[in-house]
Amino acid sequence: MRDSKRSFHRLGEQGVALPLALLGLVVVTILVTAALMTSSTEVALSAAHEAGTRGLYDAETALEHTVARRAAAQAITDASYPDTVGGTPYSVAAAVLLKRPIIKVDSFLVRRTSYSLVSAPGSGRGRRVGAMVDAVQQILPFGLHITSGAMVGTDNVKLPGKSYVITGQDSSSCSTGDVSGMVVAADVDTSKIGMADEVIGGIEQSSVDKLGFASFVLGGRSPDQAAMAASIKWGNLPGARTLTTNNLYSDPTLPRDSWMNWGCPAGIILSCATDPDTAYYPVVAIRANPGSEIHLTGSGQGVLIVIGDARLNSGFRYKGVVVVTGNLTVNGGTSVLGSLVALSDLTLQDSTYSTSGTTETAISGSGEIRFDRCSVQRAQDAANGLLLDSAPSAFPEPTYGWFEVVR
Amino acid sequence: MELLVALLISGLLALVIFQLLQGQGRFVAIQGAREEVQQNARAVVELVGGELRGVPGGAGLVQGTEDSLTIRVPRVWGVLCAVPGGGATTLQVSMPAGGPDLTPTDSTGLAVQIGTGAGATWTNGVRLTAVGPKQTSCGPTTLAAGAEAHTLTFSGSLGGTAPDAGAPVYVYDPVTYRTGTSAGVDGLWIQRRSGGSGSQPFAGPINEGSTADSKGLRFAYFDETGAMLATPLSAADRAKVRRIRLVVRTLSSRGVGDDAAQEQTDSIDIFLRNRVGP
Repeated sequence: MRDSKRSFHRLGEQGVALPLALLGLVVVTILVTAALMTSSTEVALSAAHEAGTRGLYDAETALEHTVARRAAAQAITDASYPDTVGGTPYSVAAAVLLKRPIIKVDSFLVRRTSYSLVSAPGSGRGRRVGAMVDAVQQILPFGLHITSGAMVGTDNVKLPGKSYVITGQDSSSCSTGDVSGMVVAADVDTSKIGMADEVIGGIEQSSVDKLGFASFVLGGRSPDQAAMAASIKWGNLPGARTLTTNNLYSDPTLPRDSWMNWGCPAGIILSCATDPDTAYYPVVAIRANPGSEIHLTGSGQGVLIVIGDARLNSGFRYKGVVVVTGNLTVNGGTSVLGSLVALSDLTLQDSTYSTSGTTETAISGSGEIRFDRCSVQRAQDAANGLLLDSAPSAFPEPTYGWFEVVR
Repeated sequence: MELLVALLISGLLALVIFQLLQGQGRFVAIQGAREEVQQNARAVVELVGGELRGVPGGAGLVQGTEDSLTIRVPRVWGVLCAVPGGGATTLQVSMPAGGPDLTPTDSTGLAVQIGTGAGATWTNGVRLTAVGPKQTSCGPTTLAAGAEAHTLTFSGSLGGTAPDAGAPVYVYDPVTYRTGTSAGVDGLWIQRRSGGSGSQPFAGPINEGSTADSKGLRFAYFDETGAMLATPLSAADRAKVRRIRLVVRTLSSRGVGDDAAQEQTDSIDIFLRNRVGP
């Protein structure tokens, strides 16, 4: 009995040492925990401060880096440009604030565009900074020398039937004073032009001969060079779509980004009065397949350049400048408000026939080629705008208007 | 005997634990106070520094002394897109879409840059009296999706030549930083006054400082060569300022035990980002 009692109090298990040790451990644990909490708060505060400061400079770095890269690429547009700074993805959003009016400096056309830039971390959290920068583009202008309804660089002009060229004496067509109905190259034998008396305003001879006539009319560019500036290209041209047919029908009811929407010529198409494409003047270039003739139907406006032979079908309505390097046939019922530039044989068809594809159909009414100084000017401005749009961008001054986006 | 030894050891342990806890409590209190002053100092450096960094050129620095300054803080930057009536009372400005509220206070102003590059100057700051609704076009120009135009009406004369379309514009509020006391707030504080409102306690308390070097808020101004400019800044010197040094000495709201309040000194040199170049 005595032995069994003793078994509950083995040696070393009497006294208060264990509770004391446990109590001491608890106290030490509390102290250590408190110290750790204090120091971790300090670390967190410092880390947040460091992250905030770094965020500002990283955002600034991304912004300036993007400007530098855009300067190297000589191009900037309304877009978000990704960048990575110290492993953190950033996005620099560029927005056009203002495209300033085009001005002429010496012999160049210059346009300055102001952009707003905002640099933000890809996660959307963190500091953001913004600034503005100006991009400058300049070109040698597309200066058309067009002074009549038809600019002709060939002897072979046929004006049969009732097709005719009209001068721009109609005040509603933005013309002042008398102008010649047709201007021909200096070495064109006007006596060979059939039914020349149908040309209202008469025929005027340019001081430039046939060899330099195209370059003169197109402001120092060859038709091929002018075609390169086009925003819509068909056939064998850089960046062009393949011509799978010779029949092209331009339709302003198509979406703006369609390659067959060539603008809506208000004034000659009634429905264009309410069409947003009435302010759209694209430059269209077509290179005909060898041995083929391009047949054009529909309506449009701007500058139309055909490298090769072409036929303007009955019902074709165009406002601006049509340039054809090959043989050009204009069917009856065609209307060109602006100017027609014919550099090879030109035939104005009798009004009673039109060709659509390979099928000839009888039509009524006469073809009309009416000089319109304003349409020519708008087409030229549009061409210059397109050239400027694709011209390299320079950034002559540093960013300005720096700000930090309020968080 | 064993019980006596245990009691003695327990007493000693309790004493040690008490001392440790007291020390720890004091340590935590001091650390808390240090965190407070550090955070205060950092906040001042960060917030004041942020506003100084964006000070515009020209008269963007309105006045500068050793312990106070007044600056124009831009609300928004944009470019002039139309100048109706020669810009006598209204301007049309294209600015980033979705920007801040532009409702003017009594002291909201605007200024326009004339010219570009090294020869650029700024017009007088004029009081903005009204801001027209958002427009998607400006004059004959249809703006891109990322921009919007507002007609800004102002009173006063811009002076000099009329600005052209494309000129940079900013809308600003004048902001003053100084030291002072406020009712219901203990000690000397850094105060911020924006627009027509009174000075508001911004950060503090700060060291009142008996000497120039110990003052709680100090500014120093440097030109593009790094030379320090004399204070208070003259009008000519204000235009020369390219860098501002801000020194702040914040205090904890109270001391720990018998010790004085904790003090933290922090400083920053801020290059004025919109005054790049000579």
